[in-house]
Amino acid sequence: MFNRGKRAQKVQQEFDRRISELGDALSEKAVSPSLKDNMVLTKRLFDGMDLIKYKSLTVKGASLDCFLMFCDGMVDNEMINQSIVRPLMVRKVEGDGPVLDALAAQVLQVADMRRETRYSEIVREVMSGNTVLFVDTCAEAIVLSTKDYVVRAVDEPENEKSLVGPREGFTESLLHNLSQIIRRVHTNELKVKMLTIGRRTKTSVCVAYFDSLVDKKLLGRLLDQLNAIDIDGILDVNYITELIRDNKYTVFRTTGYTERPDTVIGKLLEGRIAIFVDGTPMVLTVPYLFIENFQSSEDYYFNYFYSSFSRWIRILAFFLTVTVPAFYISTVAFHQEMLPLNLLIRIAQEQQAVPLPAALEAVIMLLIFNVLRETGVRMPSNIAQTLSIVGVLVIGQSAVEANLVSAPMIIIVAATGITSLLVPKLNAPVIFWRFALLAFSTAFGFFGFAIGFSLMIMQINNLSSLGVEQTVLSGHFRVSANEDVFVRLPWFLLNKRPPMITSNFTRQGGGSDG
Amino acid sequence: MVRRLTATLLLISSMLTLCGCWNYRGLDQLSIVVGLAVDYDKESRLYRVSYEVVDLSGTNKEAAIQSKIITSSGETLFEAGRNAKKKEADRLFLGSAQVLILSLDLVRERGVLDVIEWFLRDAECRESMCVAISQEKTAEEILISSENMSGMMSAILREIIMEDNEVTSSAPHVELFQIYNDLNTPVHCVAIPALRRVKANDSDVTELNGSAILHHDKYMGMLPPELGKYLLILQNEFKSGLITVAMPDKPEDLATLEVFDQKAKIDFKRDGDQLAFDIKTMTIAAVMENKSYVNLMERDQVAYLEDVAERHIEEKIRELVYRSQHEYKTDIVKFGEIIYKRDKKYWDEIGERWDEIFPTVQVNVTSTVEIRNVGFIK
Repeated sequence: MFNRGKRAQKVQQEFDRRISELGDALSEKAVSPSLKDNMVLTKRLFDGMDLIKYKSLTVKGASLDCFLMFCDGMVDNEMINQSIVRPLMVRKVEGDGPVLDALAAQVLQVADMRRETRYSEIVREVMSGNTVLFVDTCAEAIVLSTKDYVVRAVDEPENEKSLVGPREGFTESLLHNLSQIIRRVHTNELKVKMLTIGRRTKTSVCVAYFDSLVDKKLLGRLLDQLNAIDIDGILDVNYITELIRDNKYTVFRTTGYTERPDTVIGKLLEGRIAIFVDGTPMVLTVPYLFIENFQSSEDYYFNYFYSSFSRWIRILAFFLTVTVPAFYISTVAFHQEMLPLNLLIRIAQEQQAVPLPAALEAVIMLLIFNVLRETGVRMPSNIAQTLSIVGVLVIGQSAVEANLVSAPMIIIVAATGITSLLVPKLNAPVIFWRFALLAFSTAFGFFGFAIGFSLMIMQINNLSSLGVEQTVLSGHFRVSANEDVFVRLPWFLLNKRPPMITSNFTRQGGGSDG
Repeated sequence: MVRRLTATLLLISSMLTLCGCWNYRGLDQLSIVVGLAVDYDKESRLYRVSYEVVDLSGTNKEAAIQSKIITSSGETLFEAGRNAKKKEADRLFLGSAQVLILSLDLVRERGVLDVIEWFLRDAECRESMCVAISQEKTAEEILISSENMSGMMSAILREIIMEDNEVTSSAPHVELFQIYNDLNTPVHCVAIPALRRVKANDSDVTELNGSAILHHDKYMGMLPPELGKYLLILQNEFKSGLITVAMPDKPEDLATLEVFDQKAKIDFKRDGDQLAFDIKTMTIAAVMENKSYVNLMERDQVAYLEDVAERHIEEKIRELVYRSQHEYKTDIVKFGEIIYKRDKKYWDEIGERWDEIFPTVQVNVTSTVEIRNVGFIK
């Protein structure tokens, strides 16, 4: 066992060494003036990659050989034919200057182009849908932007539907997503910084913020953390979340996720930083405050009273969904005197007929509920009906009629389930703390409940995102910091940005715009 | 401020949850006791405790909840309670007990403190349990349900007793802890509601019938229900009730007033050693039933009715005071407490001798009745 582990380790080390050698070799290689050399090298680099297409040409007038290289399926063929191949074959180069300058200025009908000498970059450009033109005698290649690949159409995000307000959602294309942002923000204050993360995927990651609103210290910290990431691939924003979070093992969220451009801009306007990752419609926003778990973009589009009310309901739902099963077990198994007589008798009647003790029953029913929920998420929608029948009839009605489960327990589980749907952003902590509190309550009744609940509050109070405390329970109470916390004030009173996030907190009516 | 707020919230939530026992006892292992009756056997010197227990065996959810009686004996109450386990599979759970009924024999023999002491000491029982005294031979009889009164007797009895001052006002109700408190006030007396069985349509029902008067934990007599009403008035506990008055010149002519608002005020005057109390009562009422010759359409006749009602109330209060001074020799109206509160120094002088002084105290009563509504129907 030990030997095998050691051998596997050795193999892995050897493998890593070769990979890094290949990478190093690639990054050291530069474009050679000899077209033949370049041809041989590129062919070797893309050996076994049949999607790479080459096209050899002769530049008219200069009578120079050249070749184009692109990745099939990632490019706009029409554009390559009309704006690159055709002009190269038809247009005559005039004047004496360097060939590449002349080509760029007179022949190639592509607006977005640049020179490149490093092979590592060339590989990346080809693999992301650009066309590379090598010309004989030139130690540089021209990278022409010809990206065109299939993207999902813009539609309403499934998980963040809203009744009012914008309906657009992000897609999997980074540039399209950024365009949706820029379409709504017409200012040079919006900064968009591009990074590449992932040793193998070389995923484009983009950090966006408002220059005047963002806290520069937080931005610097975030960029440092992003640059320090060393991972082979990034497929979704959650990779970044888990790599940059302050509380490593917490079950609570430390970054905001959204699929909605309007939400991202709302967050940016409060001084937050957004992180876009190519290939996913989810966008991260940091720093994340705990109250954001209960906020929704609709809050800002509906009447302020209704929004505040729904926010209370969501906060209440969080506490209910976490505490209801534990509270029930505490009263039923430890503190029966807390129940009014008639309720006590009804529950006792049910308990008398049921074989399992209440606590075990609760655990089993909650697990069944989670199974049902998970099934509901994973299964194709056309069998949804079957599932609800199984859930309702088999587990609900039959179990109660057969006296396997007590009816109050079904009600408790249903209440727990329904309230949990109100706070989807707190899914993980809700499940974790619900079972934790249940365990405490089963062991010590309300005494255990109090301990467990205090621990949960402590954990929440210790959360931070990008070094910013998620909940502020110490210090002085400032109205300005709570304009959008427990209530959402009407827009004409919502004058300040959250002061924990930004130092430029005057949103409106402050005279000079910050 | 947020810190203080958080601390307060944490304190409150801890206080709510950090109480009670922490041993797991499933509801399926408990017999829920809804009421208790305690008897005392003089010869064997045993307490006999009857527990009314919810009968959970019937799983038929539509039917009314039934109960059964479990009886056990022991030299002390606690022992009797433990002895019940010999007859019952599940442990008795006293946390939801609604009433405690004591037999008159027990009260005569041993007083109430003997019994109440254990209930107050035990953590499981509610101190707000409602206490009553059985006028029948045993206390257990009161708990036995009949055709006319089925279901949980204890819950029914509790409602009868607790809601009395909102409907009929015939006897003040007391809870467990109040008895202990009242017996330890300067006047050392308490009135505990009394229950009896009466026949109705071939089967028995339990009825509230006045109060038992206790002084220094000794039984002094029964206060009839019609005087209980005036005791409630003087204690300002009278919420709603009826006052029926007869015309002085024609006793068969009756009028019933429903009382809307009732206030009583007691003042005391001291002249040397001579004590005098002034009782003033204010009643706002409406005429709800008029079987007398009084013509309610006439202003002066209504005033006459008011006058009659005033005399009636004064007379009844005087009777109550007279009986408490001479029959029970117990200060149930708690005049002594008024002295204690207003003139502590003087009370320290006479407190010791209050039981002798009280029967000689002079009491003046003035009542005003305002008829606000006569219900025009003619």
